[in-house]
Amino acid sequence: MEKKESPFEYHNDKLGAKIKFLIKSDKLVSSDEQSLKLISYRALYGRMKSKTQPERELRRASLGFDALVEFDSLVQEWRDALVFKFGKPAEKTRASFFEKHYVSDRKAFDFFAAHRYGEDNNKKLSPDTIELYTYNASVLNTILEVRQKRKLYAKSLGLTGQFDIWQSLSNDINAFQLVNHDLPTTKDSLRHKVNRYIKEGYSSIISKKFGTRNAAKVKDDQQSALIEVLLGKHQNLNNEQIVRHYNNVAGVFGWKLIDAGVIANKRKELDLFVFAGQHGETDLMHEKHMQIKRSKPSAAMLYWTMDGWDAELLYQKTTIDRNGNSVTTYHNRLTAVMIVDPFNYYIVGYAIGEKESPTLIRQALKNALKHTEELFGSKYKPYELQTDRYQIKNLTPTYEATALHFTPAKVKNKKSKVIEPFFDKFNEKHFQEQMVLNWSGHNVTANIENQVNDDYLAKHRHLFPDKHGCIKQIVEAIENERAEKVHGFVDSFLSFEEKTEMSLNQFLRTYGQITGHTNKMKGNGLTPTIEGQERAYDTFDMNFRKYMHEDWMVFYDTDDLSQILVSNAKGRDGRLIEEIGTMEFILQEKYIQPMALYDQQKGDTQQRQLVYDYNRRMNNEIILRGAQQREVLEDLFDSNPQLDTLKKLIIPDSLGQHKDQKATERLRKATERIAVKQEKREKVLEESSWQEAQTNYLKEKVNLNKYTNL
Amino acid sequence: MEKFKRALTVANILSTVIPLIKFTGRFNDVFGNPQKKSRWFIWGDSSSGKSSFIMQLIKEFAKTEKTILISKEEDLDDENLQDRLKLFQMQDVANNFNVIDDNVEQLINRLEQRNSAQVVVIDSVSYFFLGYTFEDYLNFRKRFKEKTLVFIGHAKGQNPKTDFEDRIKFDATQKVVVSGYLATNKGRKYGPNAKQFVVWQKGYEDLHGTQKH
Repeated sequence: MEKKESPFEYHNDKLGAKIKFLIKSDKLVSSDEQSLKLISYRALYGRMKSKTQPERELRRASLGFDALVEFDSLVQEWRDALVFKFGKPAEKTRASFFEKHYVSDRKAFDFFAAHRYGEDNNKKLSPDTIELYTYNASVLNTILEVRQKRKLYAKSLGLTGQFDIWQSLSNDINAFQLVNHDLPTTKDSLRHKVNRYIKEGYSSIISKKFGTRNAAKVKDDQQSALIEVLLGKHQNLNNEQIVRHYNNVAGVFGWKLIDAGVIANKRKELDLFVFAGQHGETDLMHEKHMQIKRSKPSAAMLYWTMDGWDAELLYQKTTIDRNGNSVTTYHNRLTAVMIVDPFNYYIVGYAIGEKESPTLIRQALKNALKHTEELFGSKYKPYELQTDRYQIKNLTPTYEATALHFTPAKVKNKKSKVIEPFFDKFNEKHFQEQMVLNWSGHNVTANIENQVNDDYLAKHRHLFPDKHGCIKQIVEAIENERAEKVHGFVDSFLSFEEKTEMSLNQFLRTYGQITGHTNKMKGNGLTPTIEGQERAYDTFDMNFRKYMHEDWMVFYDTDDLSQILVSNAKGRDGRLIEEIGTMEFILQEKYIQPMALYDQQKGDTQQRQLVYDYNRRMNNEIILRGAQQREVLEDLFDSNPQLDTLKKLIIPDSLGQHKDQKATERLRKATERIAVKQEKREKVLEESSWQEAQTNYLKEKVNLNKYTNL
Repeated sequence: MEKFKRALTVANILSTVIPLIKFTGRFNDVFGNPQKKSRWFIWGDSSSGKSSFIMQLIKEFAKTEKTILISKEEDLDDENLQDRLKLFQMQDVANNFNVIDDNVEQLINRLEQRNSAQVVVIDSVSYFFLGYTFEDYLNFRKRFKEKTLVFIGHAKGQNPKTDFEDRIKFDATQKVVVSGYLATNKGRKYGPNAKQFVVWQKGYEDLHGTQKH
């Protein structure tokens, strides 16, 4: 395609328009095909020569050159017509003030090409970097020159106060695209850079990472050790502060001085070794130590973990202030202490209160043990219980009584507990997901985007439940959670062999309360006053009746007053002084029999019969025991006849009779006499029979002499 | 007894139709449409771009109004003047624009003619009113109060150079200071889009740095 000829041409730095695009053809001069044909050649020529017309000739025609009229001298209509048809004349590219002064710096190139860095000074800059730095140096040179000239220029124009030289230079730098430099884009950074360039020359352009100075400054062990010790200080010194300390020492030993960049690098290098000093042992444990991964317990009741959770539910509370005005607050929250078995994250026990306290913790544990009774028929201890160290001294006896093994979490080690993440899930599942109106969000450290809309909460605060309602919400959530998991939990425990039951004695002793008084057993039972009400307890255990003289202190469970634990104790005027604790009994609350026959009910007879049977057993036992005692004493008296009278007095038979005993005595004496006689007779008999046997023997003897005389 | 002049009500004043001179482009941005009977005072240091600004302002006036420039600083056959006329293509408004070299009396006579120029640009007041008092100035502008009078003054820093010029500044309805190729509108009327007018783009950029486009 043929290139369209332009009517515009510059001549002597002035824009001209070719005449052939303006005139009509005539005999002498032919116009261009695309001419606007505004005027005849003759007329235009006349105007150009006239003193009354503005058009001025720019160039006469010659071989290869068209005649030009000065574009600016044309009237507006003609200029507009030309521009309209042929487009705007190409603007002669005009170098800016800054561009005009730009000169490439050869010396800079040599300097950067010769630069070496690194520990052994054997690395050199890449060609790209050398080029970039050379451009930067060249532009900085130009800035210095332009700054000087522009200052003079401004002064010559009478500009002083209202003129910002650095802004003007920054404008130039940002617009200057002739070379690929990376100088600062803001005027203040530019000024800083230029001033450094003036002071330090080409070196100021080289990035610190290509420097040799830092690496060379800290070389020997003493220097490194000093930095490491300063970094590890618990005061957490910043880089500048360490530099000052270091340089003080360096001054003494003649070491090279360092700047903050060195310390910044060392801080990264030595992080592991200085971390503990800076952040403490706990953070070291959490951030740097190798962490232990643990599997969840293999069966239910092997491991309980417990902690308090600030329930993310708001409730309203109305109080009366000191002026007697009613004040309602809407930001109140409850604390739920929960005991969770990580076997399947079953909530074994819980207690809800306004804040975490030893009382609340005990309540939760008690609740857990009672819940085991609900689930398994008896109270069972977990194999292991893990808690945090809150009030550890106070609570350890309780914890130890509750579980076979008690393992408090390591000091400040939150990770050993799995309960915190459980609380988060619990919170999300039962309150956030259920869109509970008074849900107050995640804990305060959570991401702000996930938090609840405060404005919405504020608007609806009047709809918040009161404390009781809030407790109900939490209990409901816990019960829902339990319902999901209870089967798995129970099944696992029932199939588990090593169960450890918790005796009622231990339970009452650990979780029960004491009356603060002592009581004695009487015929109508033990009658302690529990929570302002006198109650009567007794036991079918015969042994207890043996100690009717003892003072007893009483442990009771407010939730279940049907049984109490009594332990022998010292008392004074009915007040408990201290527990002796050598004996303890579980007593049952006495069955109350109706007085009137009319009021009798079905179980009454049975209960009465129990008492009758008990009393009969007691009688039998007393009789039996009396017989045994007598047997013992009889032996004693028998061997000591001098105590005969006493014997008669103190040993009646069990029916209080002595006659049989006298007869026995009489018979015994007669027997003795007979025995003596019999003994004599037997002796005589024995002696006579010997004489007789002797005679018989002699009679039967053979005389041998008789036979020898034959 | 002399008759009192009628006191005007607010409504009287508000209902008065004020004839305006139509400005276009950058001038409209900075000055809006000035009214016909206004007095301008333009001052600036030597070579601040004042004359260029005035030439452009004249061209803007001359698009619609008959305008004369009383050139006291430059002779009419000065090359500078010629260049400036060329540079700003004053031929576009040649029908409405003339340059003269009158003194005060000559100008008064000229302006009292029928169909005399509506806009009178006096460059500069210090030369034009040389030997005259401020009272003479006041008489002059009262005499031609229906015309648009543009007075050019010299500056020292940001302020008019002489007391005479300073008083004219206070009397003027439109004040413009030219400095570093930048004309700044200092009141009383502003245009809708800007307060400053770049007189000469190249000169301005040489001084203030090239703006990134």
